[in-house]
Amino acid sequence: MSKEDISRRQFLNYTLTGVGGFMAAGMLMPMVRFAIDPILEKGASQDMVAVTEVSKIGKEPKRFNFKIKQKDGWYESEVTQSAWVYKNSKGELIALSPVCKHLGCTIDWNTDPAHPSQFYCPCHGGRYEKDGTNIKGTPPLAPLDVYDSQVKDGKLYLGKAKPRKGA
Amino acid sequence: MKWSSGNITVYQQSKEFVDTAIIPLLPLSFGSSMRTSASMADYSTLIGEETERQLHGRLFLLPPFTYLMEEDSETLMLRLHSWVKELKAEGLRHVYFLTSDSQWKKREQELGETLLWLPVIPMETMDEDYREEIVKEQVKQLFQVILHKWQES
Ligand code: FES
Repeated sequence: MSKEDISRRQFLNYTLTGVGGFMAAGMLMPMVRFAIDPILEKGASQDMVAVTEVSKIGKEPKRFNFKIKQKDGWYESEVTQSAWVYKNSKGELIALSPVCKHLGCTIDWNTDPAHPSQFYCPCHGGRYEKDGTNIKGTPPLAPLDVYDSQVKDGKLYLGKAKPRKGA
Repeated sequence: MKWSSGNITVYQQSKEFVDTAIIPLLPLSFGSSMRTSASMADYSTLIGEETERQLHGRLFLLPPFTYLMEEDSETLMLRLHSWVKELKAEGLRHVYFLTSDSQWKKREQELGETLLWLPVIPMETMDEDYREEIVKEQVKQLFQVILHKWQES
């Protein structure tokens, strides 16, 4: 009699730990995935696209357009993207995304007469310094994204635009 | 932003920043005007989407207002006015109609809102880069109109 009791309790114990263990695994899985994903992603990073010859890049930001393949749901299409590119005082090439960090309008360079030599967003008057830093007191709360870039054979290649930390 | 569920959360959170709507007016016709009506649809869609891309954060590109070319114009006008009424109540102060259909040009006064009328340019035989250039050029013009209105308000 008692022997049977124990075995039943044991059985319950086993099954409960089993279920608990299973649930814990379920909770762990997503965490592990989050931890691993960025590493996996690197291998599959988007191809870099040739945008312009380096010799055409000056100190003043200039807009360059380029095409990338974009997956929209289940079909792939070509979309035109643009970048504001210039050479900074250290001689480094900077490529900024034209998408305003407030609500996503397209910014322009030096178009606000009251604030020359800044990026300006026509939608709600967002402004950014030449290096992309958002100007306090205007709607955007983060600096412009920066494209991954690479120079090869005198050409500038751009990849994904990546966010930076806020000012 | 476009009329798609992905944008609605952003819209609801930032309503006060979105005050402009574009409604494409697209006629539908079979028979001899079929090609024209389709070209108009192509063209308005391209122009509308490019404008939306640039002014994403302040402008709503609505689904097109479609009608048969032969439809009674009084009824159309009434329907259109009821769209506008709804949009205004929603806080979209600037409403634009985007079309290539010249019947609207003739009745611009009655519309009450700004008509962005662009004569249709058939694009189906154009190569892609040229097409893009034309669209960019046209959108620039629309920009002037829209930005000017924004500055006034
Ligand atoms: S979208 Fe640029 S300031 Fe609002």
